[in-house]
Amino acid sequence: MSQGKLVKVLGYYIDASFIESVIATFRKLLIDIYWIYGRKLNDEGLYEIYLLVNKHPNLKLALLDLSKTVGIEEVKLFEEFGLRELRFCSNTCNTVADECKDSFVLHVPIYSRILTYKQGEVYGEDIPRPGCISRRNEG
Amino acid sequence: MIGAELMVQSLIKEGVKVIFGIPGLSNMKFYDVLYDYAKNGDIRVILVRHEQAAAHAADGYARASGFPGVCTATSGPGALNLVTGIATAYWDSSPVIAITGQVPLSSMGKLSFQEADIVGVTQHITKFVIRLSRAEDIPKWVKNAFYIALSGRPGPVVIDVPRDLWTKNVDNISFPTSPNIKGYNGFRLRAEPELVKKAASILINAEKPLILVGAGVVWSGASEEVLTLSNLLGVPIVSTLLGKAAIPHDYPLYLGMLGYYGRAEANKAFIESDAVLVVGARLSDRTLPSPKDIESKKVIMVNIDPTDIEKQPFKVEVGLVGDAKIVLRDLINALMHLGVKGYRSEWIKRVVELKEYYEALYYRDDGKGLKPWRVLKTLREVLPRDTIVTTGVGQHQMWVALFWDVLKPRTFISSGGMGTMGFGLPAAIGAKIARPESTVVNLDGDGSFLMTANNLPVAVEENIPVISVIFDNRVLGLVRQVQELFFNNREIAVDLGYKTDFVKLAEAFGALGFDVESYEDLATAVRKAMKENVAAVIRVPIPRDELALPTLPPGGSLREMITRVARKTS
Repeated sequence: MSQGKLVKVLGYYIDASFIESVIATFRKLLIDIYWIYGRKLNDEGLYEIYLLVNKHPNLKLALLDLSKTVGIEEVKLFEEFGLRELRFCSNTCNTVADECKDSFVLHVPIYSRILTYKQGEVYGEDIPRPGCISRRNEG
Repeated sequence: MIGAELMVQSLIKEGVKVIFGIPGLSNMKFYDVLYDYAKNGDIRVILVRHEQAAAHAADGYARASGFPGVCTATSGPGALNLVTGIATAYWDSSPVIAITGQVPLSSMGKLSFQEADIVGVTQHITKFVIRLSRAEDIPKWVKNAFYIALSGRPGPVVIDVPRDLWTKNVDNISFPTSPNIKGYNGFRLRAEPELVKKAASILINAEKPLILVGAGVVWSGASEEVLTLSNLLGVPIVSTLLGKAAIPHDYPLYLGMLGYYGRAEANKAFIESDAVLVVGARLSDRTLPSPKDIESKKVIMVNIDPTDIEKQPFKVEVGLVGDAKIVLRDLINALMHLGVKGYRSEWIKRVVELKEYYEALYYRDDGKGLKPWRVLKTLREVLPRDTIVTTGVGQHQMWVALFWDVLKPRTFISSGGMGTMGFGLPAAIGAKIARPESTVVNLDGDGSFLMTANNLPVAVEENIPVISVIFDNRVLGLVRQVQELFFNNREIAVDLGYKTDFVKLAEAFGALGFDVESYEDLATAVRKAMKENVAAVIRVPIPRDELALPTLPPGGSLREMITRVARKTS
């Protein structure tokens, strides 16, 4: 999975076709999705969706296409990132359980560069402060 | 007020004058409300004979007028029949609004009668699709749909309306005055001044520059700016298939369509050029079959959709994101400011040489049957300058692309990206309604025409006088040509037989039918059809083995262009 690319999509949910359209943008360009998770951020219907996708020559085009899709606010590509895996045993709150068979896994991104795609254009990279990385690392 | 009334009033507020479609169970109430508005003359309702034609007619209307065309269909098969037309509009960036009926909310997802998940089906062939869940939202989403369809890169929008919403009573009605779409801000219209200056500098210093125009020039209304630039710099112009609609072909420096079936002089000039200004073209695999044909050039791209610049597999020296008209005006100003270099006499001389050489090659007549180029020259002589031409898809389309002279902007309408056979007749119907003062001619092939010929009665019954000229070679000509040239003559499943009588077919539907045997016959038939001002079909026999040349071998580049085939010259 470390071969993949981490993508974050911010967009407005009207119905579940919003999620379909995000996924299908990768599907149409032959890009596999390793994992996906997302959540509603506010009452206006803003959602964030994280995807770890296959490293693929079509990836840039997928991100550009996605970023100009009606309803998508912006798309971020995490460059130079790592993933910290957090494993919880299901039904046991906040318990890290390495040997748990029925586990719930979260991947927390730790990154140093982000490219932002908006309305079909690539915007400058955003380099977070080291302290921020450090705090995320601890998470 | 009920949902159906809200829909009709919202459409009228947007300026909708005509709706193409077919009523059915799930859009019945919509039609019921349209009844009064149609009777009062507020809106025209055109009954097509298959929903595919509704979408194509709306598309033709949009391309001829520059304003979104509207179509409607009932749920399930009705909506599904729109799909080809919607995809055609999407590929060619045409603003079509499709209003589909849907089964009631409580029945959705349960294999109900005439249910189809039209959101799922059209999600990837539209700019936007929405299934409404509240009648109150109808005005908002109609307003948004028009904005989405027409802003930035235009494209089709589908509004799916569950049947129970049509009859739902709505209190506190409000019609929005401006769109409000979260996550859609439109593209920017003006490019950065520094980049414009850089582009100007490239164009001034180029020895063999070329302008390539696409459909974006038509949508932006930038034809005049393109001609000004060409004149200012002495730069020849080539176009994409849809870009033909942007440039009057009697402009001396226009060389024709570039690409897979492009004019040889356009392809050659492109290969020899050292800098290309691409305006409003996405450079599809038909226009530019191989990136190696452009790699050595300095490329400037002007496009409203930045993705079209970013995604290119070759280096774009300067990408100017913005509306073509605005960007070109800025570019002209920058050129004037920097000082324009003198006329490129050597380059122009070379281009004229190419033009004369290949024209001598095209315009030959061995006397065996009617020649497509002469048919088109004959038509051009008879038809008014502002005649709107639509086409089907196939060999005839390529002949039209090569030999039909567009003399006014926005008078050439064809299915480019999707290559949808059957597009011509319904698109002509839509175009004629959009521009009733213009003569509208559908230049079609026999195979292509027969795919939507069931809509001929629409033209007859609705008094929409479009003329269909059928290039009748009794074969799916382009497929046959590929089988002959690249599949070792193994012709299969292409012959259409000799029993179909296009004159009787036309007459059976109440249209005028003409069977011509000579160019003089053709001119007479067209004059008569125009004079009678009714729907007409003119059948023009074309030899079965006539080829559409130039072409490329499968996977070939412009350098591998085939301009002659041995059997034709031996």
